[in-house]
Amino acid sequence: MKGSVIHIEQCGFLTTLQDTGRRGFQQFGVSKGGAMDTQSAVLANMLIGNDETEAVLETTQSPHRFHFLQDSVVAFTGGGLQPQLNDQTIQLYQPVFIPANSVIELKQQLPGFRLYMAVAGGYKSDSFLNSHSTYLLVKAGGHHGRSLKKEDLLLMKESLTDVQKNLLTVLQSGATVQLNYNIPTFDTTIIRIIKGIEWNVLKDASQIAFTANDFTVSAQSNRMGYRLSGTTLQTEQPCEIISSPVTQGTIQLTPSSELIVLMADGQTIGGYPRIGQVCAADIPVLAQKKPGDEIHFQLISLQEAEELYLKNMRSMKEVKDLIHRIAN
Amino acid sequence: MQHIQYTSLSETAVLLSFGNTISEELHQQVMQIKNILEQDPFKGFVETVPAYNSLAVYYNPAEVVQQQGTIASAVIDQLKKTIEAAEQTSYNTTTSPVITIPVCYEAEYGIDLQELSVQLNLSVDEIIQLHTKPVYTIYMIGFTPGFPYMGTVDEKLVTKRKAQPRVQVPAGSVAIAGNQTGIYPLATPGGWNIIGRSAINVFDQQKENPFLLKAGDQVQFRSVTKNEFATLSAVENPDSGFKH
Repeated sequence: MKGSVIHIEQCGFLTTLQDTGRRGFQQFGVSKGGAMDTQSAVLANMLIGNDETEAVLETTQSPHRFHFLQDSVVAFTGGGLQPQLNDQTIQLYQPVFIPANSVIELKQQLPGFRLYMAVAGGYKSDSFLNSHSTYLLVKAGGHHGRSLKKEDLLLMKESLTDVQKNLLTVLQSGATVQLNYNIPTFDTTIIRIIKGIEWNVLKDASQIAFTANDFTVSAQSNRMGYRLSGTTLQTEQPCEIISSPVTQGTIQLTPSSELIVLMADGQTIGGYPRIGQVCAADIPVLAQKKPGDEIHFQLISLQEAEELYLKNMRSMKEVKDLIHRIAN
Repeated sequence: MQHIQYTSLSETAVLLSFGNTISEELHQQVMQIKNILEQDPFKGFVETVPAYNSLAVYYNPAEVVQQQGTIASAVIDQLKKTIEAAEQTSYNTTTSPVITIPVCYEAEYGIDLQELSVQLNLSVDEIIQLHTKPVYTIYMIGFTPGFPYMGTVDEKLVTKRKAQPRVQVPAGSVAIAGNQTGIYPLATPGGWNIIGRSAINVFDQQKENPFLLKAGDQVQFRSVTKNEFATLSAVENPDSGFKH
């Protein structure tokens, strides 16, 4: 085997290629999809000079072993697993040089749930509706529309930009590139929300209970949605709505009083009352929660949510500028 | 025009609500506003998602021009302006051509027909006749890629969803529930009553445009024999090795 290849010697239970998702096809029932924790996915790309919409590998806390057949520059972000190179811990959130013929293992657990691995130049993968994200329901995009498995070969594109070539040279020499920026953490249990379209269907006491009590991420959670257990919330009267658009982060209350938060592969339209909406800034935090984790909703205003959104955009931009300055 | 209510669905989407019922008239307004916004998109516009009586407008907050207040309020002002301007000019609604979908209602595919026949006190032939008679409007595409929610089904065919949804419905199944009818494009779980199988793919991921149908389209079903179904399916899926 030659060329830019990663041989998957051991693979976890839900390992997919994901980018920033599909746009423009929600009216045809197509989920936005993409990385569950888009912030980590974008950061991983930025750290190694990739386009931020490049597909990255999304792993879900379970052991992996990757055999790199060629010199590569990678970046790990997110959490859940600690990458190791020859039993040496690899730092997350910085560009790393992987020499040809080395093996990366993900086995020790870290806080969080999903680890992202980007490679400089990007992975070769299938495009479906203008995105390389794996769409499991349709079996399209990413690596043949499916999760990776043992013995798969992941091919890499071999076109490095000048910034990436410089980065490779710097890292090959043994130097490390330390970036001074705020690395995201996932230890908070607080998930900020704004009122949902049907917030008012909740009984007064339930409106209070919604943000006063903890909820637990249930085992029946996946890339489509997180089911939560905890306090039973009640509506003034039995409430079903005429099916209407929903989006990532929409918190639905089912007739059996279960809360479902729609995630990356969630549907585009729903018939349950939308009692809350997770702020875009905190969807990555929620995506890093695993079954059994507790969360606590905190209500903020739309204006505050917008400010968080813009603040996040600005700090991502800073990281991008930083890496381009270092590698130029 | 029905009064439109504007509410934020998220930091990146505003929901336009048009009254509290399901009606052809309200839906036409939804589609009309959708067309207006797509023809004259504001800065930051991303996409729209129509439903029965609501329309989501997605935008990129970083691109929206905003002087004061929230970004969402700037978007809503912009939407109101665009809609008002369009209402001043006489706007022609174009009627969509009727798309005919061949369906095989044989018991092999219409796996709930016998049960429905008893439940509705209609013969299988009567059910087929009632289902193929109307021209349906597609209110929205949702649930899975390409699944059309169509109405309105003849009142004699109004049914409840199955108490126990099937774990997997065969792809192409034509089904009814409430006063709606739909087609399952993919093998997915489903709780609607299955009465036949479409001979054409309403969603084909191999095609550059995988979607045969969109919200606002008009659809009529045509009953075909098993032989005709086999011929049509073979044309649709040349690689499927469909042989009898």
